[in-house]
Amino acid sequence: MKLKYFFYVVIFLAVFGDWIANEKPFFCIYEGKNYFPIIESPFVKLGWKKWPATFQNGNWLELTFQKKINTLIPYSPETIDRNNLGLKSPFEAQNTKSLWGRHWMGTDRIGRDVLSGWIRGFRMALSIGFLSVLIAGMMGIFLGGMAGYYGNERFKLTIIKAGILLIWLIGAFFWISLGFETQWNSKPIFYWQFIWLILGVISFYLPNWGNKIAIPMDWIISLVIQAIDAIPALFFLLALLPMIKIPGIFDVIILIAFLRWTGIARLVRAEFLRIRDLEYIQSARLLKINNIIICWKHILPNAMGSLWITFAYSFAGAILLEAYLGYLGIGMPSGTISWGSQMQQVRENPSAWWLAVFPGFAIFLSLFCLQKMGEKLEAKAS
Amino acid sequence: MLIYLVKRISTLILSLWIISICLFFLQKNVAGDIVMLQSKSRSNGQFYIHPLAAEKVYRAEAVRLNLHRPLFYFSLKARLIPDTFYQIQYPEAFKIQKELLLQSGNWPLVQAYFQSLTNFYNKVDQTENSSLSIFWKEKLQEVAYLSDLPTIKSKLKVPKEMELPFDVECKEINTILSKLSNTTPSFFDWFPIPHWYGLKNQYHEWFINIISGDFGTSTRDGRLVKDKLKEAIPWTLWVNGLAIGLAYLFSFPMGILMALLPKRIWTKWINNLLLGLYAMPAFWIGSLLLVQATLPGDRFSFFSISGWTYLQQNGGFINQPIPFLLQLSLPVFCMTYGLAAYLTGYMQSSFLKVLKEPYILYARTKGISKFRLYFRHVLPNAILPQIVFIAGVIPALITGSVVIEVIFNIPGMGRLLIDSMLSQDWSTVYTFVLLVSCLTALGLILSDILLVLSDPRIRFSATKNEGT
Repeated sequence: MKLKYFFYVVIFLAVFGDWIANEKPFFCIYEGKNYFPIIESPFVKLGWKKWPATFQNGNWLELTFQKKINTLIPYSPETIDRNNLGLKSPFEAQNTKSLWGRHWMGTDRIGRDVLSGWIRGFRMALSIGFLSVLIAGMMGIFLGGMAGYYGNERFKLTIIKAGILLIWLIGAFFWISLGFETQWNSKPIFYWQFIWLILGVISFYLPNWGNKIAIPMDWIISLVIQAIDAIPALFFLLALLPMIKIPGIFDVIILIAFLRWTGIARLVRAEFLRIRDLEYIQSARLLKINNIIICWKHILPNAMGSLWITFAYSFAGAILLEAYLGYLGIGMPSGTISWGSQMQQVRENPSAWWLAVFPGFAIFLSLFCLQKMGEKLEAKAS
Repeated sequence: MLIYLVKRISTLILSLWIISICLFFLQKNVAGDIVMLQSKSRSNGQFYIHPLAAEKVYRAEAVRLNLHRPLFYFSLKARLIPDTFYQIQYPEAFKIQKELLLQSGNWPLVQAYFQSLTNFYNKVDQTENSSLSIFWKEKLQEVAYLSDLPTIKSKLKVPKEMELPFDVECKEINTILSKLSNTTPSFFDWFPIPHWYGLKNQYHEWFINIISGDFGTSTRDGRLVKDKLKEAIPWTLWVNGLAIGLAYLFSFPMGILMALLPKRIWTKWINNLLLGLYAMPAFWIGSLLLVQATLPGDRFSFFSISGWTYLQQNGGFINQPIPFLLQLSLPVFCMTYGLAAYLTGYMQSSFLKVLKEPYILYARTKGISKFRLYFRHVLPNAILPQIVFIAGVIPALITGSVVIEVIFNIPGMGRLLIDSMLSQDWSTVYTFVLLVSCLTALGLILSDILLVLSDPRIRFSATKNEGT
């Protein structure tokens, strides 16, 4: 089996999941009028289109239509099917009108369809994995690249500028924290922040008086990486999460990215260290090409080959962390449906095997394919 | 070599110190009102003290918990905030006074305002006229927790007959209030001014305590964190130790076997199988096993979800080795198979890598026996990276064991962490995270040292890299 077809299926399920499993019918005739509820619902949310009041608050399962074409699975992940409350097994007799409305993967304790939640899980896993790897990749490439390219000796500043930079950074930290403290609505603080920014820009363009000293970029960044790596990922995540009072999915994504950038940064650093001493980079430096352009155009494309491998592994790691969080019931906003949160219910109802088998299988499959992809990329690179 | 070691260890200590600072501030940020929590847990949730009079009680409690000190060695605060501002303990008073201070920018005036309020309250307290005193007490308690000056003024506008006995105090408060509403912080009042507090601060105390082995008490049930850890650590060690041991025991022969087998199509499938095993999340298999264990019938009669307390009380491994190991078998299996699969693949690839080395070719041309070749020349070199790998595995294993412990209800460190989190026992959580990260860092450095000691080539390049 080709790996890429699996990814196509996953991406399709993630993007069009709402078109496959939805309590809203695809097309319906209600009180003599035609509706396309699934397509129209975003417009209704924006207020561009109006629906009858029964649609707005109504339970779609209990409405009677003159005619309707359902989606493949006529339940949303959040839909509560009152006829099949309390853990209906997939093989058990279910109280549904026809085979169409059957719960093919059973229901959970409050009567939600497991299959449609399972399909929603693809979107959750994919978006959390993708976005966290994207953010972690940006952080990792930037910081790892700085550490690798400049090393301990190439990042040179005059003593005066280094001092100014240090003071400026402390000040910037102060102003930002003061901004948070006053909820960003104090005018004098805003003026100060603006002045601080201008001062920073001006000091950047100051002439270089006096001797230059090398700032040990590599040492500083490696220290930070070492510090973050010393804490096991899940522990760190659990330590950071309570800082956010009501965590949303995006907070979780950022936190996972914050934990994952170190692995990418270490690899980028090693690659940059290797490539920066190659002859073509040295000649580019002799030609006085801007450092940023050297890094971006000449080093990074060369390092990218091995970077994709870590991206694949980080993706898998992010999916696993998200599943852990969902399973432990910590951090994810309540009511979020993901594979982990579905599996969490098994802890209370150990006899409901279908809540463990299917979501777990999806996690296993995505991890397996990502690992396999990483392995293939590795083989390609070597 | 020595220089490399010293450098490595000093950066490690530095990074652990940074971690400890981060965790300390996280704890302070997250924990909320520790005094209230403590008092609640000591008095069974019945904690009510009168506002205005509350400050004294609260302060005494805070002093007992050493919370009356500054947070850190130094602070950076706007000029209008005095350097002794942290001394205000009562959170509501702190909030109101800070709001008033940020509005007016005049600390002596704010202090004078609260002083006059307290004086007023004390005077009201001494009067005999009960209706008057009740009226004013309620009024003052209401006003004391307001920060909006116009509303305070409107609240203090009372009928003449009520105001008359306390004429002087009312006038004083009103003059201070009008002064307060006339002043605003100047532009330069917002400039940051550093303050140095010295060693008598909360962080220093916490850090010294942890270094000297005193991990404090849990804010939830008042037990020593040390005792909690002492109970939990053996379980985690048992599970992780058995998992690592079994995984190595399985993966060494399997890896060698796989490396020596001729390449056929089915070896590829075995590789895929190993990858699949590795990708199977342990908590999935764990919950499936749990489903099996709790189904009716005697499938896993040796395992019971509540069997841990029994083992704990009856002396664990020493007194009852067989029930103990049987009880551990399911969680250990969950943690072992993935690691074993990974290590097998790793062993195989490193064995094959060593086989391609020129010195192996040389040994072959010498005509030594295959057995001798594999076990004298290849194996020691192939095992080396595996041994070093163990330290890198430990953090991932600890992470995995958290979920496994939660699933199988093992009273180990992972479940302690999750339970403490869910019951908001932050002092345990953060002390615990710090300890685990110390252990992990030590493991990482140990693996580095092992690697450097065992391989002269790495030793040379490590010193060289550090030198430039």
